[in-house]
Amino acid sequence: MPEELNSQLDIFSELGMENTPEQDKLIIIQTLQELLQERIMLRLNEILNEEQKIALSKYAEENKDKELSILKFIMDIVPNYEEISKEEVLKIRQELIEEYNANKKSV
Amino acid sequence: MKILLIKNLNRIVLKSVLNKGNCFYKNMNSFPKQEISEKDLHDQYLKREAAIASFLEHKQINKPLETPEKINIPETKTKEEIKIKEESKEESKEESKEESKEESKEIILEKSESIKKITTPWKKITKGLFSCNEAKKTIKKLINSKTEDFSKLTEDQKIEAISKLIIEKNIEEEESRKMAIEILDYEAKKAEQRETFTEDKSIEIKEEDAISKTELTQDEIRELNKPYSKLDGMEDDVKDYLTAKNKFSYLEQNSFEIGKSLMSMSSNAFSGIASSFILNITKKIGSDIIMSKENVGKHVEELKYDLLKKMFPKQKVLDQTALEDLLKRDSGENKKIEKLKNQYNSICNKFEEFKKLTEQKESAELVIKNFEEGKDGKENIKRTKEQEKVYKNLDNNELLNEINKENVALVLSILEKKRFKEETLERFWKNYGTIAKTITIGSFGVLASTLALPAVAAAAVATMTFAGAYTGGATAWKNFREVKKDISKNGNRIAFDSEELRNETDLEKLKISLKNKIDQTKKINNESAVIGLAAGVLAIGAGFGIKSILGSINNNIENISTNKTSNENYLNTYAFKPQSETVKEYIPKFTPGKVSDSEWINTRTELMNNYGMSKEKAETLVRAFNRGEIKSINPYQDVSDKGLNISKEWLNGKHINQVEKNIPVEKVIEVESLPEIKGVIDYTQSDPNPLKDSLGHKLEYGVPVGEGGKAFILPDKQLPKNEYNTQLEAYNNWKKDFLNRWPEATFNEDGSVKANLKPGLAYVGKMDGILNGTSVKSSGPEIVQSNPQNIVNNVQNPVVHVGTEGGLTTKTTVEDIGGGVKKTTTIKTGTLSGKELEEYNKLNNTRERIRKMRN
Repeated sequence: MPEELNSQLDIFSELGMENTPEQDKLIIIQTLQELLQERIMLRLNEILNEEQKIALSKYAEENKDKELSILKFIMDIVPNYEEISKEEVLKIRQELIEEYNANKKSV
Repeated sequence: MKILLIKNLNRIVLKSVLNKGNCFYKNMNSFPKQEISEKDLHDQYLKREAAIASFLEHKQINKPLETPEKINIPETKTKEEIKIKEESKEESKEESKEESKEESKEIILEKSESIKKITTPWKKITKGLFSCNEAKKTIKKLINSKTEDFSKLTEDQKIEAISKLIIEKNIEEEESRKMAIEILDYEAKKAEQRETFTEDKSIEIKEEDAISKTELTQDEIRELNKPYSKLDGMEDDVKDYLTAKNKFSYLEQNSFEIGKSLMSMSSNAFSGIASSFILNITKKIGSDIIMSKENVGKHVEELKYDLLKKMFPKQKVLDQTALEDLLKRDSGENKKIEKLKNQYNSICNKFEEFKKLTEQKESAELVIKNFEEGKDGKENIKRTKEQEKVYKNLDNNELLNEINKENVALVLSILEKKRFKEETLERFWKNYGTIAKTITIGSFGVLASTLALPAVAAAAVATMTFAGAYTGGATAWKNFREVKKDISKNGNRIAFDSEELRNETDLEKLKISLKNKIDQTKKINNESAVIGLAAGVLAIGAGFGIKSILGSINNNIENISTNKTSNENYLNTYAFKPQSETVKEYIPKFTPGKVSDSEWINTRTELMNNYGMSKEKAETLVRAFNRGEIKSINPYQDVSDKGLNISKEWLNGKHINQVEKNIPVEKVIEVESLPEIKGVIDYTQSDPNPLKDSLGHKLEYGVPVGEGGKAFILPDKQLPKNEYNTQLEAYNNWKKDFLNRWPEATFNEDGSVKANLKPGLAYVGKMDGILNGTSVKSSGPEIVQSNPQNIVNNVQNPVVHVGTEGGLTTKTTVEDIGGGVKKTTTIKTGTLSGKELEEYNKLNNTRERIRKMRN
């Protein structure tokens, strides 16, 4: 597991945005979450074979309102799903911090 | 004669100057108007000129110092000459008319000389003044200039120098006023010279210069009080004091502007230069010196007096009150007087405005004075400072908020740039919305824990995430995303239905809010509610992680889920191994960019042989690897976005004719445990996913389609054996289905139906009288059920098992498709009855309507 996972510093503190109002933090988290979801979907697209993808699509179609079941299905076919998710979060965090700091410096 | 004329001329000019000065500034006593010799008079004039020389220098602003000769006013020269000529005549009544005529030219020339005499001392005096070491030193020091030539200074430098000179020399207010007024006096003299010959046109009071405000409006007062109204804790007297200070500053500016306007009116009445110059100085050294109510009042009174005199020039009475009485009695018939009268009234009105504002200013000043200088003055100031400090902190907070906003915008812009187009993801995923929603829920815990999100924020996001998930329906998630996009774009705060979260940061309140939301969502979906509850509680407790979420809710699912058969069936059917075990990526042996012909061919052949790839796909991937676009070759890579739409050749991860070897047979083929797929192939509809076989024939539902897609036909015998057999099986299925409905139908050699019907549209409804007067069984047609997943790959014989299930006949075929891989297909046939039959007939009726519409 990457070292960063041990960090207990929240993302806003890392960005120097501890004083950001809660509602703004929520918007940022939502956007982070959306980006993360997209990254994970692309990652799954890369690692699943066609058969698995079709099966997942069919299962999702027939269990539209049962997200947890679908999630369990995904985790069954991709046992390291959680680790993949964490990797993607860390990537996003790293990118965000770097670009944010670079932008701040240029300003 | 010449001497006499010159003397007369000088006397006339000087008299007019002095009279003007006395009229306007009678209190100044700058020039005694009693008996005085011409020599003394002239000396005094020169002396006076010297005193105001520094101010007069403004006439040279922004242009080189003119010689005295050039100062003359060309356009008035002729008139001056005339005037001089006329006055000469008057002054020399005793002289003969002929003499006058003879010397008229000389008089004109002498007039020029006389102007020189007026203006020459000007330059001399200016130079004299500034050649004074002390003055020069002061100016150089003040303006940090090396130049000794005052005329070369810019206007700002001149003003700066003179202003500071006045201050540094500790010139008293009265003295400053005198100096300023002397400038006006000089300008009056100049104006009078012009005025005499320009029919009073020089007197133009510009009304537009005036400021219309007479007193503060309620809005303005509210605005002035606004800054301090923010502080509830601020004491009233402190608020009053600070407001008074604010008000004083505001009024001072306004009254100054009106005062300036009044000065401007007077300056317009004369040269239009002097007053503006004074005003500039005034701005530099402070408004009180000249712009006090008393000073402006005095100035206005003088201006009014001058106007009165102009209105009644023949009156010997010089008293202002008497002239005002005359004005009141004036009928207004004289246009010239009327014009002056209007100007007079404008001045009066403007001055009234000025006085009002000044009074308000004084009132505010009184509040300030009492507060600061009363017996508790020191304490008051101390209290004010303390309370102001809080106010400034508020300001700082506002500044902080601004910075925060910028930071948030920056973060959002960075993140938004990384987002993918929804279409891109939708292309990869058939049920994008549902899977996306699932992944969002699944990733939420990871996000929260990995980024160590604050519990409150995470809880709120959890609430929104699950609230979004609960809405259900195919488009719910998309809508949710749209809403959030809008939020991001317009910077509004969290929307959706989390209004109560906006203003509540208290954890307990948030918990209550979350609970309420979960209660609401329970009504929508039991399972989702449990997820929401679990995730929400977990979020608040800051214990995140998918497994923990799953762990805490799995039990709930078991209790709630009423249809777990379906889930388990799928999971059992597709007990996939992890990707790392199932996907064996192929790494070509050549170095990218350096592939030889033989390496190219070998790699392509290897991909085709080992992975069943088509030649096109293999080449595409080899090419991509060679170009460095991909680091390894995934056999299941969709290459449709690389210009070759050959992915359709692949179904279920296998080529249409071949199956990937590394998929264990036991795991793949468990058809018996697949959930039942209700319904039949609807041949009346075009296949939504038509394919092409290896010879390029179009296939619908695995059946070859003839030219123009008008009929199902027999497969091409040139096809590889397996492929041919698969297509034939599919064709036979269709034919059987067709014959069930059209028992007497006949077929052409190519397998297409001999009927004037749109091919592929097997009528599955009641056919009575529709085709050749024949009819089909009304007891209900046989239906064919099969796993759609295997329709295209329909297997060939042998049939390995025939049985019954749920009243239907099952026919299971197992096909050895080579490489040790077997494929099983189950076909169920039977007769429907009761409710199923009713539904079936309903479906047929729909199809009938469609058929009629098509016909």
